[in-house]
Amino acid sequence: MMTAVSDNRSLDGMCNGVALTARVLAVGDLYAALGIYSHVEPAVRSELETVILGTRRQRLIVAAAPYAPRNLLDALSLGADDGLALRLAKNTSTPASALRRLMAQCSDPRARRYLASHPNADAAILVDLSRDDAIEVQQAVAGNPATPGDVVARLAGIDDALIQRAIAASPAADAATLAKLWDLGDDWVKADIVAHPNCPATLLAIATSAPDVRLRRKLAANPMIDQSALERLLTDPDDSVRAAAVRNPAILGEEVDAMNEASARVRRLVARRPKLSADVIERLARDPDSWVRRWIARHPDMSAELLAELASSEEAEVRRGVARNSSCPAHLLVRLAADPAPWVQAGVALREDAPAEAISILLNTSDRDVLGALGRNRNTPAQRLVAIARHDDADVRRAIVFNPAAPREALVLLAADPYPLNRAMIVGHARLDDAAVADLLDDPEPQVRFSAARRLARHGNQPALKP
Amino acid sequence: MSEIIVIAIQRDGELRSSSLEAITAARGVKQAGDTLSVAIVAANPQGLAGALSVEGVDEVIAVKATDEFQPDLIEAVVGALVAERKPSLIVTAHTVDAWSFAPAAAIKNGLGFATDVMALRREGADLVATRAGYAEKVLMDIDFPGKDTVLLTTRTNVFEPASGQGSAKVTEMAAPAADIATKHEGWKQPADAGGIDIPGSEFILSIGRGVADEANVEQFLELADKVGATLGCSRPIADNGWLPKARQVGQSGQLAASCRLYVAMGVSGSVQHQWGMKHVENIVAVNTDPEASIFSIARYGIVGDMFEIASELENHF
Amino acid sequence: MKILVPVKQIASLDDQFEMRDDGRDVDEDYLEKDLNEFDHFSVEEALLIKEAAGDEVEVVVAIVGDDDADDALRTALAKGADRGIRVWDDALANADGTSIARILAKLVEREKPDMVFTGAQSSDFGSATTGMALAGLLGWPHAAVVSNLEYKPGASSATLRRELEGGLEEVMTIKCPAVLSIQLGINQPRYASLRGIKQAKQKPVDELSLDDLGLDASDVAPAFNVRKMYAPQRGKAELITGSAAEQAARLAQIIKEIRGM
Repeated sequence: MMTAVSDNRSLDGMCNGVALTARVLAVGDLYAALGIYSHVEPAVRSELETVILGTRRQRLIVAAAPYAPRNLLDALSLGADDGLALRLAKNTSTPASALRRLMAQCSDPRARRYLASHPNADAAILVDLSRDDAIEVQQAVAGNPATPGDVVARLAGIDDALIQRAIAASPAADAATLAKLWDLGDDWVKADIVAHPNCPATLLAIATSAPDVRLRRKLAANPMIDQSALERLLTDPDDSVRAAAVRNPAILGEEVDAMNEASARVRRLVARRPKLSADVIERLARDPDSWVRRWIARHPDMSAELLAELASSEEAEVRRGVARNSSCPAHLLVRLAADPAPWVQAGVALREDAPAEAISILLNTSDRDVLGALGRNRNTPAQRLVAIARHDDADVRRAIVFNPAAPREALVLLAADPYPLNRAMIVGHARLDDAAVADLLDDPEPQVRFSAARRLARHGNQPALKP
Repeated sequence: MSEIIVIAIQRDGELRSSSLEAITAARGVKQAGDTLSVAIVAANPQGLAGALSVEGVDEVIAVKATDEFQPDLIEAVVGALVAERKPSLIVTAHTVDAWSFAPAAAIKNGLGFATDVMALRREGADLVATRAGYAEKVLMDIDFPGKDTVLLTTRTNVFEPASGQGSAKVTEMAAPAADIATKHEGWKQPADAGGIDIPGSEFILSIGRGVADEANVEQFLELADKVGATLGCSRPIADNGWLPKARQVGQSGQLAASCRLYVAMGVSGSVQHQWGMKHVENIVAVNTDPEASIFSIARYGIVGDMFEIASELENHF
Repeated sequence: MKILVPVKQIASLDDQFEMRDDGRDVDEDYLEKDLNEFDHFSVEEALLIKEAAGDEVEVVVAIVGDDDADDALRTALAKGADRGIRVWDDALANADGTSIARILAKLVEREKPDMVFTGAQSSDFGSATTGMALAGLLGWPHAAVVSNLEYKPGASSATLRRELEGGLEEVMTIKCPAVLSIQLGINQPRYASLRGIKQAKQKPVDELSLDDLGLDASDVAPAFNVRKMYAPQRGKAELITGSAAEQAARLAQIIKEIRGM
């Protein structure tokens, strides 16, 4: 096998992928064929199509597969029967050209609804579908973020609760559309209008003093809100309104600093804010609520002193927060590597910046979470990575997949892993050689065969034909 | 003119309420001239007869034996009832006890048989039952041509428990001889393990790739705490080290064995994940992608942003 | 010492599908076949007993199904079962759990196993019939939905737990040989190694017909007849629509209802 591969490499460019294609065609495997389809010459594709689209069962599988190549989905849309059309309309990988074709040939409202909410549907398709008789189709058009503003404005006149909700949340709804919707919609719709970045100022003003807490809460979440309104909402008697205001990215630091907040729920959200003064951080680090301390332990502006203080917390989750804090100094990481709680140790073991001393302490572990984290860490010694690749637990072994520095021995073990998902995932590892990948073309799992074939085709490489 | 018999079930001397649901199912196909009897095997069956004497029940057959569940004994009772009374229909609830005795009783007596029946009706002279197939994706109407007696188990929590005061006569029936092969040794209550207990949890809130960043995980731990759920996750979250592997639901992870409510947020629903939770009766899926495969197994679907739903949800607890 | 593990190849249905022309089943194009999920646990339970006892325990897997069902049988063999039996006859096209049980009873006569393990139910039709019906025909001790098992090969009794409603378990002893239906979660099923998969191709599989077992079509007539199969009026999922606030309000209501709050 090794000889064959190196021979083939010398022929690279002349018969690129020919042996791979021949093998896939000889075996007649649907999934391997799907894997190489996009990477072969157009002339070969029609040969592959006989393998891929041979039976109706296979055509149905391909039409529903989000990993199917777009040009193949496009080909399938030509003269698709109802069963195929429905699957293609639903498949998020189906290209706009196929969607347009399906729209023209298909009257099933279910399929047309899928087309109207399809992420690849373009403005022209959506304009056409907005005139569909079926209300479900119109609802889907209203909810599609690609629907143009003039279509949204027209749909706003339809008396339908779901269309109104979709428009209140649509990025294409302008101020005039929202104002029109305000007069037609119920309280839920009004609440969403108030949260919309294009909401007219007059409506924002109404919401500021609205008795309905839903309106004030949504207003507090509007990123376009002005500072004075926001300050007023920060002192709202309802803590859910204050909570929404504290989360608003438009808020400046000082107002929060000045808050003397009684609700733990709101203080937890304060502890999550990106910019906090040293005073506030210190106060929150000693907050009586443990969730506040858990949040602040992760705050990047925490001082080394406060981190050291929280690293001695009785609560493992607070110490875990310190271990995950990007500002955590090396000496604390060493201390936390010897923490009694494995979940705290695992927090250190995930860090590429953990000092060698911390890693060597962690190597004593038998805990699955710590081993999993070490398995991902490029600073873990190679022989330990090989041991992790041999661990009893499939989830621990899989960590090797995510380690760009994993040694070949560990990678080859993963390529023969009993757990199919581990084999499917190791195929993507840059350091796994193509000879090992070629063995997986015979794998019992379709997902593994697909990934292996795709990888080999991408590399333009070719395993030897099996005798 | 024929007889319908319901096999009622008790546990530790206490009547299972699903027995009353089975009576409702049987009552629904009782025709003029038919009699409806309910058989109960217990240490003190007379003590349970009152609760079974609901509207429409003509007779309670009290079999004095033991409160222990012995499939061999119940099968012998069914055999004796078939031989003596030649009922046209026998109904019992689709409980775990019925799983043990109903198929054996049916095949030994050559009965027409179907389990987990969700609806029951007469079409002319024919008895027609409805049950689900292909993991609940289809329904089937089934009948029992050529069968004098049909045994059905009825899905629980579908039929209303029968009520209304009846005036059933109580008949004693001697426990038939049976070769008893099992012996009750005790009960084991579901584990109330501290810490992370996905298999033992009745309510799991689970997060998937949609959570996007380690910094966002903490708020779902907080939410789970607030709503009284155990936080679970899909494989990528545990692979990244964002949550302990003990929280990973699915193949190679944990099985949500005791779960009654599973709220999946931002979980696409890979085959591996579904393996650990698709059996749960109440699955709620929250996902921005309306085509995510998790919706195909959910009882309730929410197409929406998991963060928005999560923060709105907090306002209710 | 021998354990017989009857397994099933189940069919999972695509989300959208069409009915067969006679309206009594779905169009086969929409079905994906696989080994029944519960059977991973029953096979594993047998393999654990085999491994704990050394090699004098033989694990035989049996399936009733056409050529297609070979895949499911090989999956069980690849995990480590010693040999397989596949029974098929075109007369079995409408077979139900009781039909399969009648075939398995004949296999038990031939093989004389010390224990029979089945899955607690199948993940496609969930009839929970085959194993306990087999026990009824054989007159063997039986228990359904077994979530824990202590059994030494050749012992005259075993201790088990059966999982009841609400997670409560009953501990019971049972005389052996017995037929047990195995619940999910009783063990951690293994995956076949690639070597196991290659070896499975070489393992002996007896292919038997009804005739070989001394049965004819009338012996395996099902206990019910399908008049028609159809899609439920409403899909399984109830879509909760509305704004995020409305959706969350409904979700909160669902949580509180199910939690009995």
